[in-house]
Amino acid sequence: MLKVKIIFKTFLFGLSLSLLLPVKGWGQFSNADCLNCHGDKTLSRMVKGRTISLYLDEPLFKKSIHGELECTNCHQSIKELPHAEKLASPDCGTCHSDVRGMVSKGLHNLIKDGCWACHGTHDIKSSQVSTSITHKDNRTELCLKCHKDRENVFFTTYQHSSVEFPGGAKGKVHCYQCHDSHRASLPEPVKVCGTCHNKIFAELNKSVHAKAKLRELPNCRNCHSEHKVKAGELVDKFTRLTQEISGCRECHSKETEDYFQGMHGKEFQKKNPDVPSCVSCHGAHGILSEKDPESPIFHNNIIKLCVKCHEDEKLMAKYEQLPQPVVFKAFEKSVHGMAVEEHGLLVAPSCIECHGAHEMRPADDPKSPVNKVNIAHTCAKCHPGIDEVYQRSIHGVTLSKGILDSPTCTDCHGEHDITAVRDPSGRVSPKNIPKTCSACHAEEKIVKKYGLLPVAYDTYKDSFHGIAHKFGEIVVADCASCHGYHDILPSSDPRSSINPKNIPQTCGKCHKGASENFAKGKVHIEATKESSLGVYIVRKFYTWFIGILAILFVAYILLDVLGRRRRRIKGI
Amino acid sequence: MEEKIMIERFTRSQRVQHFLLLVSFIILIVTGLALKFHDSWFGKLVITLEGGVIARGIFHRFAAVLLIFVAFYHFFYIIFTRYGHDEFLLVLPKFKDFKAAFQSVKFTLGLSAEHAEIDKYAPPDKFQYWAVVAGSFLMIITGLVLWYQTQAMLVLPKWAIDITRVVHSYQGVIIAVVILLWHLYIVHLNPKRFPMSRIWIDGKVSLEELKVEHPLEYERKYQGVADENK
Repeated sequence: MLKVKIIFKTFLFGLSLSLLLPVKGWGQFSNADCLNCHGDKTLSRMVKGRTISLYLDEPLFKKSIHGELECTNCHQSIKELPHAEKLASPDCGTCHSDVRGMVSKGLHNLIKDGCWACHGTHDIKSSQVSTSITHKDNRTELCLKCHKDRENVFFTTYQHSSVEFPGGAKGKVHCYQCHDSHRASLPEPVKVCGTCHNKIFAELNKSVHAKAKLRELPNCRNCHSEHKVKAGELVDKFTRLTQEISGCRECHSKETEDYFQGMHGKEFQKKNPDVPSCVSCHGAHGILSEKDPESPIFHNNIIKLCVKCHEDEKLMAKYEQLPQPVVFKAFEKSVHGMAVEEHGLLVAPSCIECHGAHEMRPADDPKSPVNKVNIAHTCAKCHPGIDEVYQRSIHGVTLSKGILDSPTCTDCHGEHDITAVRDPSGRVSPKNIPKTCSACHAEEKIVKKYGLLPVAYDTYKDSFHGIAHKFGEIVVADCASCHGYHDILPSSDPRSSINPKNIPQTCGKCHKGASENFAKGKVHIEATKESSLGVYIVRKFYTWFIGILAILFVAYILLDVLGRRRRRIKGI
Repeated sequence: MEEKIMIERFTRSQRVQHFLLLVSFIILIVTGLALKFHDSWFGKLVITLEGGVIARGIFHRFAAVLLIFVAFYHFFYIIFTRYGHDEFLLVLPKFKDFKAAFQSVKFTLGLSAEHAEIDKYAPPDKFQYWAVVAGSFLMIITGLVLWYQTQAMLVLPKWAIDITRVVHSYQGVIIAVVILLWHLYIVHLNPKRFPMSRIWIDGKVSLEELKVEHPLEYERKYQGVADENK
């Protein structure tokens, strides 16, 4: 029986050979011929001192996707047996010309071992077979055979090593998904990343960067380090800020330098994770032009942007030296804040018009636009005429000489809570002017230091003007009515509204037809010998006179009452 | 009970003058002192009740006009009416007033049992009358200067206005003191008449009282009347 079986098998083998041979070149040699030698496990050759096995595991080959091909289909340089010792490498492109075309354009074209570095040689399996080294699930491991240095980062820190795909499936993103198996190209980041991150891709396409048509647009890689890429929320906050800033810095170096000059940047350099980075204000992917009303840095959105942090009670509680949320809320109610937020005026200042944007310096920095000596110039950006007048006034002149007690715009108008003059709650409303001026002019230290009229406020309060003002009359003269406001000058200055020459005109604003006699005498009358002798004498006289009269009358009453009592007792 | 004989000491015209003067004085003093003591609770209360400083000024000036009217009325009254002129002559200060005043003091102190010889107007009455005349005159003049200060300053320098203001202010206090401390005591608040004499309403006093307080006038005019009744 055994014999019969062997004979039958031999027959079948012969039959199959006879069927194949005519196709594969009958009359030449077959795989069996090759195996005569290469079937020997000991067959080998020395290459550069290393022993290379020349054994072909036939069953393995048979199972491979190429198992039905002749050896010579690939090893085409073999024309006769025995063949030369050194042979030209097989050219896969003979059959897989399309793939070869792709590879030749990619980086892997440089690899000497060609296709089989990845695919193997005689044991090539279809990539559809799950055990195949080129099966999609195994491909990353395949890449890592050579790209080993990347392994650690890839599988330990990569967000991409564990991803939840849309639809809920979990898995990892493989090398080929970005790099393409055969092209092995350096991917075009925006496009490649966008295949999955299509929402971000859409944002990017709308961004000012996309519209700018720059030669080299910022791409994902600029900010998200390529293989170490992690979801933002997984990175610690300060690292994230660092990445954001360094990403933008590549192109926007000037703005970044400015940023480092400002408070935010200085704090960043102290590794404070609470500071804003570029992204905090400008947005990340869908960065829009400042002219775009949708942009967070569009003029009318800036207040909202700044108060995101500065009205955050919790955050600001950590920074007591900063203006607290209440200040920002006051700004939103101020004439400027309302103009921006309620009325949408582009000419009204938001935060950055006064404080600067990237170079946001603290007020005690002499270069800060909100430093006391610079404030008038800052306000003058919008109020140039007033600044010109102010600079000529006693307050402007003394401040420019370095007397920092001199008031600048904000000392009278307030800072964030500036109100319109007609707003009765405001510091510069006629109702509150005396209070505002007296903050300095009735302040003993300042009055003494600069030799100001010490009784200005007290005597005003006691004058007809002051009394009427106290009882709510706002048409009556307050400090500014006579002294002016931006153009205040001492009475010795001929340009001053209270210079004796100009007094009739100044008083005449209300007292129609005021004569020169208005200037003959003091306005802030203090009843002392030195200041107003006449008033002093009259007051002294009357004080005594009234006192004596009162005593006499009381004495009269007492005597009369006692006298009547005495007479009644005596019965007269 | 024997019915008291009542004598009309003040005529209706005098009572009307007194009433108008009284009204204007009260308004002037209240609104004036409110301004002077504007920082006190009194000033604040009065000015608020009046509806602000502007309204206060209007009340004050209204009363001032009334005072000026009474002043003119009185001026014509003493010049052009017989009775008014006689009364004026009676109220003129005379040397014997000093003697009477001295005697009154002695009587009050119990140094003398005799009443002073007093005609219709006793020395304190005369003093009050002339104080009111002088005070009103000064107040009207200074008040008008302050009222029309721009016009006044065509002539007067600013410092003169300032003095005018002080004079007006303190003179007002004097008038208030005279009235509150003296006039009110003499006519109403003294133990004999407390709480109020009706003389300012009906102008009448009893003959008995008149005899004690104004013996000369009694002798001169009412001796006969008293005898008739007996």
